[in-house]
Amino acid sequence: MTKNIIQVVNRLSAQAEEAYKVLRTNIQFCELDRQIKTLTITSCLPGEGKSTTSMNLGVSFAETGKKVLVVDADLRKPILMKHFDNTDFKGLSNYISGRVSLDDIIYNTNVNGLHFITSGVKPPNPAELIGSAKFRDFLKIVREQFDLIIFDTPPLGSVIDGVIIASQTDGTLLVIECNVVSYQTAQQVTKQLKMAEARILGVVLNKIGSKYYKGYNNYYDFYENRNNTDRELMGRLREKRGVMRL
Amino acid sequence: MVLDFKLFLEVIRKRILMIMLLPIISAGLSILISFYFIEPKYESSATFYLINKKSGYAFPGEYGEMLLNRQLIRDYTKILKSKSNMESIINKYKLEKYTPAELAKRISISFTDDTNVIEIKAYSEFPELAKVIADAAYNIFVQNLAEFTEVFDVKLVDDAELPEKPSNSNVLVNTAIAFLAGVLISVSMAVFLEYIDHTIKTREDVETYLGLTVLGRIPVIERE
Repeated sequence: MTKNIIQVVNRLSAQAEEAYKVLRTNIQFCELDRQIKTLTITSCLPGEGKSTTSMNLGVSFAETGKKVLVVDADLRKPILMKHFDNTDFKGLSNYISGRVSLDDIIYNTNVNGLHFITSGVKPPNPAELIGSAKFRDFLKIVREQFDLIIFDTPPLGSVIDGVIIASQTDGTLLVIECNVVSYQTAQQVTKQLKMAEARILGVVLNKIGSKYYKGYNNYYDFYENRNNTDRELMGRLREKRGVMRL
Repeated sequence: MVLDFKLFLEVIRKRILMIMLLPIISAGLSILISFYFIEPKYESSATFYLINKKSGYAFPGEYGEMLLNRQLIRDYTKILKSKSNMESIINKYKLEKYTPAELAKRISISFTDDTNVIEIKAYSEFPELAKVIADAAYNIFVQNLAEFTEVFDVKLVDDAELPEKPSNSNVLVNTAIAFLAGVLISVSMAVFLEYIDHTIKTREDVETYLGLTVLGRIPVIERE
């Protein structure tokens, strides 16, 4: 499809990798009533870990054999680029403004099955681009080409882009960094998403302190720990059979 | 927020450094202050009894008269601390380093423990000086009494003695108090900080405040 290959720079601890696998499996559970082909990753504030989550989740899904596309839809302040070695690419904004073809902006990566679209040149009118008909067409086209499309969006606390994208995708994940977001802010953002009729799948609690992660896990998240492997297994089974009943 | 015991321990653990450091710092400060900044205060006191010459009793039975006597004592106390008295003590004992007002502050006179025994106390940063001032004050008091009234005879109960230990600086007790105060303050601070902290931390927070499920919990990713 494309000539360029992006190197994904990604070093995760076994623990973190496991955590993303759990997240992946839980997302697959959300597909019971409706297939999720497009996924919006958003957060309340900048720097909570949307991009990291998008990337790692993308890698995690690609590992299951899916054809995954990660789109950096933060046209204002692209951060996703830090995961890649190369940084000078044409991207989403160039495509929507009609200057390049879709093939020119979809890049392969060194991770098998993972593809990537950068945000591209910073446009003067990001919200308009995101809300345009061309963007909706773009969604339709990539839906057919890929099994899963993950959108990394700007934080909802500051701009509207995330909501626009969330309302057009099958599911939305709200990334919340521990000890950072007040529940009032999170409530507001949740309300905003619900008003736009976005389907919020759930929350990803991010950057849980390592001591806290273990300590809390043992006591409070007994269930999760206990059933990680079970769930993982069920996720796999489900993928093979295609249907899964709880 | 329900603060059950496990949660309380968690709150403590989260700020354990502050909770451990604050008492140590305050105890250390207390030691420092006790040794270097608080000047030791020595205390010497003379106690005596006033006997009514007419009746031969100390403060004879009648209540009204007793009140009257007590009032008289108050008057003499005031007179004792008068500027002229203080000046005469300063001159006599060469205490030029004190002004009369300062010296007056170092002398106190009172009934001890609700009895009719009167106590003259003197404070000083030197033990010898405390005794000298107490003696001087006692002498002046007796002298004043004789000048102003003939009613009372003075019977000395206890002479002013040379104090051995400073009355104010019990380093051990002070340090212990400072340490306990540190523990109390730091623990309540930890609880307070937790109370005003409205940030989302746990699965429970997400479920209660947002009504959403937690699909993933990602640990801090350490980068090599």
